[in-house]
Amino acid sequence: MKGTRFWSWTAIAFGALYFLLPLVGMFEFSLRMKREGYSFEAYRVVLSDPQFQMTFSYSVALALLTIVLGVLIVVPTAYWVRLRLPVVRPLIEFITLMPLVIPPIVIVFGYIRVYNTSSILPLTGNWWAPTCCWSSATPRWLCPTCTARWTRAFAPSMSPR
Amino acid sequence: MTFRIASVAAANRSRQALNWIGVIPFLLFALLFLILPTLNIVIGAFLDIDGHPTFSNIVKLFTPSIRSAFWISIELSLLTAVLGCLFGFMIAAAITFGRLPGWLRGAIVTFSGVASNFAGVPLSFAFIATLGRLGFVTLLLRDLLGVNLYATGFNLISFLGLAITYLYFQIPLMVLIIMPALEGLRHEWREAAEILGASGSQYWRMVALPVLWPSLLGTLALLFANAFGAVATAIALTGSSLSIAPIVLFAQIRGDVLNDPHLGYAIAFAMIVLTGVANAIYIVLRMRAERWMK
Repeated sequence: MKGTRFWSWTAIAFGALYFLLPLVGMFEFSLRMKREGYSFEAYRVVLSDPQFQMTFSYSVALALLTIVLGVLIVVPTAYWVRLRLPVVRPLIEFITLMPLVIPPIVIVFGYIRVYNTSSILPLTGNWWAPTCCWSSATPRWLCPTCTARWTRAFAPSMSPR
Repeated sequence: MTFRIASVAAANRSRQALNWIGVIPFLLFALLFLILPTLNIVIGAFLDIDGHPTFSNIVKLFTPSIRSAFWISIELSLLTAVLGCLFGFMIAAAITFGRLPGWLRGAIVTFSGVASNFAGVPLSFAFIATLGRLGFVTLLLRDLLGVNLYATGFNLISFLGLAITYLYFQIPLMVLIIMPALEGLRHEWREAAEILGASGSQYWRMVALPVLWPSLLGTLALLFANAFGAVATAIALTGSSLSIAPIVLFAQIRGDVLNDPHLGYAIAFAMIVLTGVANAIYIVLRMRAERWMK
């Protein structure tokens, strides 16, 4: 039984090393802005940069909005399915598994094809019979300029991995 | 009488209809943001530019460059899934059976929850700051031990580097998923095995692992799918120097490389098929595994 304990601590120690070193490394790197030694200069510069403040608050707002929307959609559904409509449970479970099956980059690809439109309303960009921003002959969802512009703006923030 | 029965049936039916209203927001959301985009990809994979049905996109997947991208992706995902399973299992076993202090267990589970979602650009940056050419560990090894990591042929921006980085979210995911299975192993089984004279390794070989193997293989499939879909980490780390399937698709979305949108559909479709197969394995094996957990 003593052996178990020893091996457990060994596993934990190696795990801690692997998982903590990148965090330490990142922190150490962040202190290296000034040549003469460690300082919090990088943090000062970044925090006082209005561009960063804007991006950061945008990310935070986006994250909060996602949480609120997620809770608003999921909690009533879970309640409802559990108490009123147990029949659809397999369907709901299947749907909740779908994001595991479809890689984020793939779903983003799908979004671009379906929702890449200059209109506010979804599905009105007509991905079935569309015209492009700059050439009426090219469907929008085939137009590299339209999709590339849209992707540069949104795709990086939409794929978590 | 018949009228009353009819009215009760009608009331029942209207209540049934009312019941469906509650799930409409969710179903609508799923339809708009999961099902329609996916269908769009699946259908698009079988259409040519003029909208006629064709298999040529699927055939084009087998051109050498795309086939090799998929192949590297599969190798990378398999490797990180297997290693993630192995190390994650060791850590999960250590905190479940290792008689470690309670606070450590809580800390590890919480950390796993965070680390399994720590991916993309921040993760790549952390590894570049640690194992890159001027990284923390690289410099530490050089200054303290006189070992030049990069002279040994190691490079973070490579298959191996990417695998090491992926493990950062693969191992915690394994810990989180396999812990309930390990906790489901009953004390009585171990005691019974010991009373019958089994050694520790015999217990693991003949009792624990046969019970656990569906969970283990299932998690392996899930980790495979998880690594296969990872894109931001790979792009942030390697740019486009390592051609794996998600990066090829990303390049296709941005319109830089391939000038054939329907090939993009086909790549996306192939990725869905691969992760879909992996997840189907996971679901089937998990149902098998849950027989023992009841």
